[in-house]
Amino acid sequence: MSLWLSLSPILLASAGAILGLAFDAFDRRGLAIGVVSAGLLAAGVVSGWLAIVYSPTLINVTNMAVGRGYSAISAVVFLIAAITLVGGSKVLADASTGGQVAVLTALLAAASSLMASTLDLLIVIIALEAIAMISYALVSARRQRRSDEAAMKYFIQGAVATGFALYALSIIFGLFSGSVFLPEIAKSLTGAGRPALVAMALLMGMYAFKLSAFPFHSWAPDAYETATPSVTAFMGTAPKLAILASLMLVFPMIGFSAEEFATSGFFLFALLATASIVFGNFTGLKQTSFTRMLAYSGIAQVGYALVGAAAAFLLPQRTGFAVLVAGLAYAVAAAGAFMGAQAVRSAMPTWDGTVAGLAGVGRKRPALSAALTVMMLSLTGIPLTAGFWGKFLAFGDAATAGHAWLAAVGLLGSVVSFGYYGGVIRSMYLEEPSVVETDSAPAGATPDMKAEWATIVLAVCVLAIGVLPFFYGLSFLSSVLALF
Amino acid sequence: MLTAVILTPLLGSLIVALLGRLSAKVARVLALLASLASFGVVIAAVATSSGSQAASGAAQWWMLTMDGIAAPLLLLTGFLGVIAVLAARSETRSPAAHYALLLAVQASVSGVFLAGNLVLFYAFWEAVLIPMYFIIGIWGAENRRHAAMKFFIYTFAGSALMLVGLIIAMFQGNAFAMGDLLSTPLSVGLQGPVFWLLSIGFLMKLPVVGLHTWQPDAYTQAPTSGSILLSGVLAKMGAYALLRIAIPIAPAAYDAARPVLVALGIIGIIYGALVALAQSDLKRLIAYSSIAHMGFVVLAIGIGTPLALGAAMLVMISHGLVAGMLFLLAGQLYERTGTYEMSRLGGFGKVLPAWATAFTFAALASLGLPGLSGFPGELAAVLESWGSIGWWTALAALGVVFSAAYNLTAVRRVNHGPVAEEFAGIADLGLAEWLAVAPLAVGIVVVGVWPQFVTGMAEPALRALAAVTGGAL
Repeated sequence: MSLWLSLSPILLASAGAILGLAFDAFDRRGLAIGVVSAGLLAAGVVSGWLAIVYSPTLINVTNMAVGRGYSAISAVVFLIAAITLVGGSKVLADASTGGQVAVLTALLAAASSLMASTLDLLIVIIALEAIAMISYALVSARRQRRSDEAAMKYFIQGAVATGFALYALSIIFGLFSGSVFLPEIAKSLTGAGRPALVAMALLMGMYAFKLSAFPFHSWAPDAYETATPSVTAFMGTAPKLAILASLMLVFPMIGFSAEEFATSGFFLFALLATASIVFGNFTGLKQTSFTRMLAYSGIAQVGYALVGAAAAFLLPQRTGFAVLVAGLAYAVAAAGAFMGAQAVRSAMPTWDGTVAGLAGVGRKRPALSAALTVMMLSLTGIPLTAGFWGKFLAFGDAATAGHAWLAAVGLLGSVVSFGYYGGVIRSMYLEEPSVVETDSAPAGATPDMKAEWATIVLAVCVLAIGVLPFFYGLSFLSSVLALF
Repeated sequence: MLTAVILTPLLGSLIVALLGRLSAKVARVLALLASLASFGVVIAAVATSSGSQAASGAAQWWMLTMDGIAAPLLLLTGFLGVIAVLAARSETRSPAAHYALLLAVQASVSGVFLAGNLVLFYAFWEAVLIPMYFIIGIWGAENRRHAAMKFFIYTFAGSALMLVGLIIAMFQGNAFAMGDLLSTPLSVGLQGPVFWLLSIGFLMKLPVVGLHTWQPDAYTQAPTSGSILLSGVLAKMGAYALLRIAIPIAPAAYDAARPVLVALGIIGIIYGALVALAQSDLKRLIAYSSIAHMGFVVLAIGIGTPLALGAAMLVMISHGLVAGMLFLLAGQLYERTGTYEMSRLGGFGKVLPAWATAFTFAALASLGLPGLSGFPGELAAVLESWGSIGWWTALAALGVVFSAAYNLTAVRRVNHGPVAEEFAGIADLGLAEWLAVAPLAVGIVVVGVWPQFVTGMAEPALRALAAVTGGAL
């Protein structure tokens, strides 16, 4: 495969971003958003085609791998970016920073795509930094006091996490390998002993921060709640899938799945997963704000995926598949949920952002409510939705590895999670809106059909991933998500 | 053919949801046609199926099979599906959505009984919850939201434990296809945890005492149609899964657990009957009587002889018909009086002679009068218990006496005595209501005088199962 072809998705997205920047400079905001979306869509389609046609191929010049899982993750990232950008285009076109947000979204998608496909530890860290930097900018783009505060919090904590990562890199590069290319590192780490374990723990800390796993989570709720929902719909979801993919690439490939590290790795990740599941679910239960609830529940969702990551230490032959499916299911469903929040906000301008405030939406916007219900069920892990397969495979791996207790923790967490996911369904369909609210609502509130359609499209994806494997098996997913 | 059993109500549900918006009448007619068509497809599927052989082998996710244990329960599901649609005829709040959800419940319950592998089974098991949640939560009585949430959380908690069990069985024990479970049980070390994890989920659904606290709320707060499906078919999913999955997959653990099942059964029989006796709310009384009847099912499964397993099947079918009829009649009374409170009711033998006759009939079936469906199953369960647990059987027999007490008390309080003035002029059952009540009465008589209709279908499957169960405790 030629270098250009392998780079084409990232180049397409970046080209869209640069053109968008130019249009935005001439104050053609709508056009800018359109061009960026088109670039993302093209990047997504090309990535999808690469994923289906090519088996994993290493590109020597860039130390990138292309094809199958590497491109499939990029395809998902680009497509979610395109869908959320189109869905949010009405809000963004009305905001003064809308054009810049669109451009940043495309760059974030490109950085995430790079993250999921690079086999170079230095580039992993650079891509992570790029993801983080762009996210700070996206959080503060709303230009409110609270969003500035959230971005600052995110920035400072992120700097600490980057410090971890650089320290890990210096141990690995300086003490052992003298190389940043993953397969080279693997050779040098055999028998490396305790210093390598320290490096692994530090690397894990960095990944945990970017994934907002407990106890590295505290930046996430503020950041997600204060950003525009349609922006969070991408920023808070698809990059996590790319980071999970990178995690499942780097750890086994460096050789941390070797016998001498496997047990420690399993327990570190199992601890991280358990803590995230317990903390995310119980704090999620206490939230009243819809998007804040989604942010906390996202901590638990990462925990479920990390169950699969922990089990992968003990089952090297199945590396990553369960984690990727769990990450994919989370990314699509959470993107849909945030998109739904955007759609509700425009349909009911008086909505205060709380779950209780969703009362009566079921009757007012039936299609949107049905789509949101699908998202909530998928995040809970009910069968016939994508979320079921993610949990089923991740917990199945835990059981295969002989640690069924991890599966039990995850499933009990899912039961608790219905307390708040179900609360959304309950509000939409079972609660009557308070009389005052219906009277005072302005009659001319125009629903944002773009946001609504984006939510519905994502709901259809969630259902398709959930239902089709019953008829065609998981082989398509497992071949297209294969990393090695 | 088997796919059609699930697809017919599902398509019906979609059609009703889309076209039913035109008018309530269109929705009602379409729903009735869809449920009749679904019942017809079930009958055809049962009639043409070869019976005992379950599919096995190939690891396909979409895999349906019907064995003798499932066949009678599928017939019951199709039958009660029609009754539930008829029971919902006076529903005025978005009737199209209501009918669509009833048909969706029917489709997913049929899926549970037809699932050919453990993953599909779990998928349908959970799928049942969602439409049922909405039926209780939107169309239920005053306390509906609380009841719906409680119903969902409890059964979801049970099924989460069940999924842990299924995951262990599948990923550590390589169990997958239903047809293979009996011939390749799990290794003995896995059996104990798997059996109990699965059984907690299954027993939650029945429910047995201790795991039952969601049930009276759900049964009483649900609309009549929902109560009929909840008690008539949803409760049977638990017993079916015990027979079809938990016992074959973990026979040794089942054997060790038999005394516990027997004890749970007897406790359920007595507790359900005593609490039913104390109720003044007619619908709550029926809900608690269901716990007592399900107690017989658990007791018979614990005994485990071929005849006892047949008895369990008979009690399940009978309870589906009898509880369905009682909830239907209670709902019809509520539509006229606006209350289930028995202290305010009375004297309907004079005011509503037809209704009162049907109610007496259903109560007699519930207490196990010979010739009606309640009798053969409970008699066989008690007889088989005697051979297995001796004098302890007396406790179960005591439950039968209590059940006569609460059923007859209900009949006395509702049908006899003076009529409250406000209810003096209410009208008796109309033709449409008769059309719902009469088939249930016919079913109760048929199963009462011809129990082989049920046991004959189930016999080969139950005999195969009894090879790993049964014997003295």
